[in-house]
Amino acid sequence: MDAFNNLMAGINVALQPTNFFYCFSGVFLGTLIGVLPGIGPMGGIALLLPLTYRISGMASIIFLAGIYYGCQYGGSTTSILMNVPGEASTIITCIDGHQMALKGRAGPALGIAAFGSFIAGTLGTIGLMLVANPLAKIALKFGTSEFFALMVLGIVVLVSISSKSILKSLVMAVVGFALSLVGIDPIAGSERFTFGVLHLNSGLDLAPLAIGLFGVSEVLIDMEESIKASFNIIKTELKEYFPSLKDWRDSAGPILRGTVLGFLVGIIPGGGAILASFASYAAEKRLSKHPEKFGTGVIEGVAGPESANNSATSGGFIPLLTMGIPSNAVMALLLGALMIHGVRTGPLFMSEHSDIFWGVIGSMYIGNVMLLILNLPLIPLWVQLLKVPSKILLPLILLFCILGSYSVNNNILDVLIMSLSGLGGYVLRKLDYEVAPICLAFLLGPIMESSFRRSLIISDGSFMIFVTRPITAVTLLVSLFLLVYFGLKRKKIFDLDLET
Amino acid sequence: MTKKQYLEVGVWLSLSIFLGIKSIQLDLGTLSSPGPGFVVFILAGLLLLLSLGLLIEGNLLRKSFVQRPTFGIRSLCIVCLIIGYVLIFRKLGYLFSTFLLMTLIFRLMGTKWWVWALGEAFLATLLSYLVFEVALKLNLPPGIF
Repeated sequence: MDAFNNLMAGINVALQPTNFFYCFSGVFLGTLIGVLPGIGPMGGIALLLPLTYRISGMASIIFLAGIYYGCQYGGSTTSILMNVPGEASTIITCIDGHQMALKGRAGPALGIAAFGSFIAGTLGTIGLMLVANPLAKIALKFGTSEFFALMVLGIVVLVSISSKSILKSLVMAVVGFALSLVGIDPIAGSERFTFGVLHLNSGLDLAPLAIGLFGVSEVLIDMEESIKASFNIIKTELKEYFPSLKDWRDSAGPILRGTVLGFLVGIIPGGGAILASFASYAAEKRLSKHPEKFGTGVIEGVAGPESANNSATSGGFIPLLTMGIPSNAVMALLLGALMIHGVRTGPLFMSEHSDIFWGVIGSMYIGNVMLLILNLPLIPLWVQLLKVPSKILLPLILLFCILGSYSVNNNILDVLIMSLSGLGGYVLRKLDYEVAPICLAFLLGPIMESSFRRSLIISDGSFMIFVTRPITAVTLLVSLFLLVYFGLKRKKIFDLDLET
Repeated sequence: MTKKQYLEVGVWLSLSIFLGIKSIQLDLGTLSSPGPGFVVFILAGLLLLLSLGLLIEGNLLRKSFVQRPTFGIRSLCIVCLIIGYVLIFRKLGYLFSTFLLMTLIFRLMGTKWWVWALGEAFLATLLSYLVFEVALKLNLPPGIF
């Protein structure tokens, strides 16, 4: 009953004009970002992060969360109509979604993607509401060593699934951690890596770094690839969007399974919408009575993954809000946004900032309804937008990156940091490095360092604190296992690639 | 292993040595009271091990399967333009410096005619000024205007 009352209070908070406006803006811009191939939720949130500096913590998280789950809705449009995934978690939708479109069933594919996303988004939010509180109570028993171990696990999971080479991803995590050390040492209070530049005393800001790594590098890569040159958009009418009764019968199971699977994958640190959509597609194919039809345009291949990627976004909030651990790089940016407003997530978050927690939950319900109403009628508008040539769109995104970085502190040095990290991100991505671990390690770095050093101080310099405390030891063992397992598995895949 | 891969490993090794030296300069402290350089030292060690790992991994691959990335000169030009923009931003002000930057970027990104690039840059600068300065009150430097 308490949860219900809190939820009602949260919906009331989300319905306040300012919060409602930011929720609407978030889901609208999120859908737009999802539609535009290349940018993705990471780049989009990094770009729009500075806009949240002048608004309240509550409004900023409602806005940024809206962008994240809005992206999942928007990404399916380009996957289905153009066979170009708007963002990575909708790559799998291209397979059957575009085949459906080629067979003249673009409408039902878009429709089931929107309805499935809505159902999964809503059920995922209910899951978040139910799971967060018990988990926060468990997390209250955690000490510094447990937090350190959990953050190690978060980075290891992201590293394990994110790139072809685990070694390269680990290098990126170390670089991100090293970048987070710039500024004043949190325990001793001395300067580190500031090189006499006063601006660096407070450390590097997340926004210029993330905008450079994700936004600028994406523009530079897109500029070379000019992916929009060969777009072939399939036309469809608004009245055709509603799936038939048979479509609903075929999709009900995949939507529900995708919702549960996506939610669970979303909770795991390092998991997220991309992994969830792939896992759902694989599960549906395995459970199907006609697996051979997958890839030829079956609606189950759209309903499952589209539901999974949406519920994964809700699941991803659980480790962030209950333990202060971002489960993926997008959550790391949300954590950064909250920290800017002096809000620290963790076990005490639900009691200290219950208004924000329930406000976000309330806004997710409202946002999902908004998306369902907005998504289908706006498809013609998104299609028109995709016709804007990249030679116009990319310079404008670049200008927005510059202004976004400048607005953090009204300091042009942030633009310099953005351009250098943009160049770094471009070179690294070209060399097959994944830049997401930099961002995650950059954000977790300060907390990890303090937890690690404090643990050693508590144990009087004994590393046994990381072995004798059960949760710490198990978490570190799981991290080690994941590194070895994914390392060996990747080697096998790689060997196979070489042979073929 | 290609020359570029050796260079790549060399960069990480150099960074690891740099972090190692810095960690000692920052004060390592003791195990029971770790100093500001303690974690830096661990990171340096990790980076050293990972660089060696990359070296071994690179040598295990056959050369024919190593993809050679190509770096676009236009991308480097754009970053140089932004760095130049940083230098002139305060002196010339937002409107003039942004107009200059955007004209060059529009040209670099495929607008064929200078007149078109000038027009696009003018519109982009004006619109961004109206949004960020007039509406959002960002305090952009006026410079020569």
